[in-house]
Amino acid sequence: MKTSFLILLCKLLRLAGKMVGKGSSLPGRVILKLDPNILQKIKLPEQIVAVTGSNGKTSTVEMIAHVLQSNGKKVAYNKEGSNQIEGVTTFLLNDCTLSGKVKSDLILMESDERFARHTFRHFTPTHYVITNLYRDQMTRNGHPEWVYDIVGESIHDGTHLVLNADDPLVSCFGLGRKNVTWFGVDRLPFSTDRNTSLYNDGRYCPNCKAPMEYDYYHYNHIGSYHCTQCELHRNDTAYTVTDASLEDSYIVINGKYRIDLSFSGIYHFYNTLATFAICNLLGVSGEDIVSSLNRYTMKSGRIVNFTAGEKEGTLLTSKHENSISYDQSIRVAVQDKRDTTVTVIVDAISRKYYTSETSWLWDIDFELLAADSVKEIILTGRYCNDLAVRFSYCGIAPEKIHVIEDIGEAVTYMKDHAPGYQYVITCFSDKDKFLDKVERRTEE
Amino acid sequence: MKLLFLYYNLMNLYGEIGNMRVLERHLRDQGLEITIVGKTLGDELDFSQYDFVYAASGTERSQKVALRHLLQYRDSLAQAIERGVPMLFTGNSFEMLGSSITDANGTQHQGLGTLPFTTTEQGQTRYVTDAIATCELIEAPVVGFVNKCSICEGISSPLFHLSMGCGNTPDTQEEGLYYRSLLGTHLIGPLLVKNPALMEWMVNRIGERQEGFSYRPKRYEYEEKAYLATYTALRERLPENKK
Ligand SMILES: [Zn+2]
Repeated sequence: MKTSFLILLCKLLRLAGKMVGKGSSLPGRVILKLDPNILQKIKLPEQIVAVTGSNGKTSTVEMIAHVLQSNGKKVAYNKEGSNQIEGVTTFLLNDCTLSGKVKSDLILMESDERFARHTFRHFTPTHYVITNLYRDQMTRNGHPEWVYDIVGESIHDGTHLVLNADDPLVSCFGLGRKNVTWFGVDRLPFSTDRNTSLYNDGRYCPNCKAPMEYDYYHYNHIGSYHCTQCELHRNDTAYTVTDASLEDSYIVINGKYRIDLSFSGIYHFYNTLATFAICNLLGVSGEDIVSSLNRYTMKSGRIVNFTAGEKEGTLLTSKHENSISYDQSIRVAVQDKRDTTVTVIVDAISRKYYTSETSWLWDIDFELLAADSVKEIILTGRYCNDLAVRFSYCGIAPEKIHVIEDIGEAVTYMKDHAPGYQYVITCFSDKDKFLDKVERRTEE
Repeated sequence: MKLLFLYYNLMNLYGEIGNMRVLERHLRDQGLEITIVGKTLGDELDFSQYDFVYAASGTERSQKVALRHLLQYRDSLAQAIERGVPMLFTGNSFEMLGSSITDANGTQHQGLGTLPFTTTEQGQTRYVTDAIATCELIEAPVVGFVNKCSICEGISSPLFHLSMGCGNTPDTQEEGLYYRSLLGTHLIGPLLVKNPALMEWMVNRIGERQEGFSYRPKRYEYEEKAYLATYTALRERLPENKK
């Protein structure tokens, strides 16, 4: 079938899909059925940037797009989160002229780590940013080394890698490679000498399984490490956070580029750093990146401030089945020295597939919530009893913990009785079940 | 009593530390004095010292390193198994007990040879699924989750019969292995925490090793409710219960 016809068909299907509020993967799926090699027949821009990793890729892609666009580049990117091959096909064809030329200067894509090997069969990224590989949704991803192998299959020799030097597993992608740019965070006041998490995936070298040694940790297995047997070590970084403050929410890159962030958290430091690195490599000056990123507010709205009756609070969107994202949210809650109540909701473990798997609760550092500032804990949702079992091992007085299966009743309890500022920690899959019962104020 | 958590910092991929934390408390609730010992790569092992041995899941690469280490102590382990020391091996740790593990590249790794079965891994697909199982040890059905990339052939005494999940080979409903007081299963994660009846069974097997032990019934409200929530949710998804 003629390419121009397929492009037109894709655009029409996308338009129709938008009118009925359908997702963006269907048009691509239809076109790929008609011509599985369609992506090799269109003329792609010279720069193709892919971003992958367990956590933060959506935010990072959003920030990269923002910086590039505010500096005059026309960017095609899959902002709808349609990061599988069908979605990618839709967004590329949608951006094509009928003669088959992608109009944008640059393609930017969030690549689902499990599907990268399928997507990049059709075209090769010129730049590949890999943010981190953690324990994430293991009910479908298996485990981080399994994902590492899959991502590895999608990396081509000519692709320039932009890698997180502080993540030992990600660093393995750079072994024996020249075209790599490293980014990382220097030792800072919040770094620790010891691993403080409940498990340590940096204990043994991902390359040879000999013990690893760390000079310091930023969180979990992210930090400065070297293997006691093989050459794996934290590489010197071209892009470095040389100073930062969690309290005052800023980072300084390479000693001179200060970026004020609209929300804090070491996570977000890394996403911002990765954004800086790739945008600078693509030719945007440090000064211009700073002015685009200063006080930038994410559109993805992961932090929602709300009012519940008389109570003020913040919902911190985390990911079920991803202990590091929970750990980060818990840290935000316990950094607040006011009196607080922390609510954890686990109702549907995923919105995309069904599972009752709750093993991941044992990887989350809920012990941190034994802090004095946390006056009460509310556990709610279908899996509130799994949470209650887990919380009975956290050193928290049982009378502080309220287990209320029904989310509506939990909200009523919160309005009537919960002391202090409210933090709610839950996943995309469950957050609206809570937010629909309170008043949303602002989103960040 | 001494409980061994084998490769605690290498083979603990799916929150399996939960099994040990909860088991320890339940045994203490029975008035038993409990010490948990963690051993890992580089440590010497003597299985004659322990009243319970636990090993959990690791990545395929971690498992091979653990296996290489454990091979030095295969006789000590085999003797403890024959003496009926209670043991639980979850996830791919139980594959080490067979005669060999063939990895996705086709390399064959020598197993401990405790039991006559073989394991074959592949690198393309993982078998990931919720599971419901029954076994002869307890009346209540067992719930769990399978997460593996291997098949095990030649197991003559499986532990579970599945009504949901993936068996030792994809075409069978027989899962895991049961030999003397050793339980091996690909139901990963905090299996004992999720299944109060299985926990009670294990507490009894360990407790019995102490003279004069008799089980004092104790309720664990949240564990029981959590079990029911998961069992109810999974049962609804069995083909015969779907409308
Ligand atoms: Zn090494």
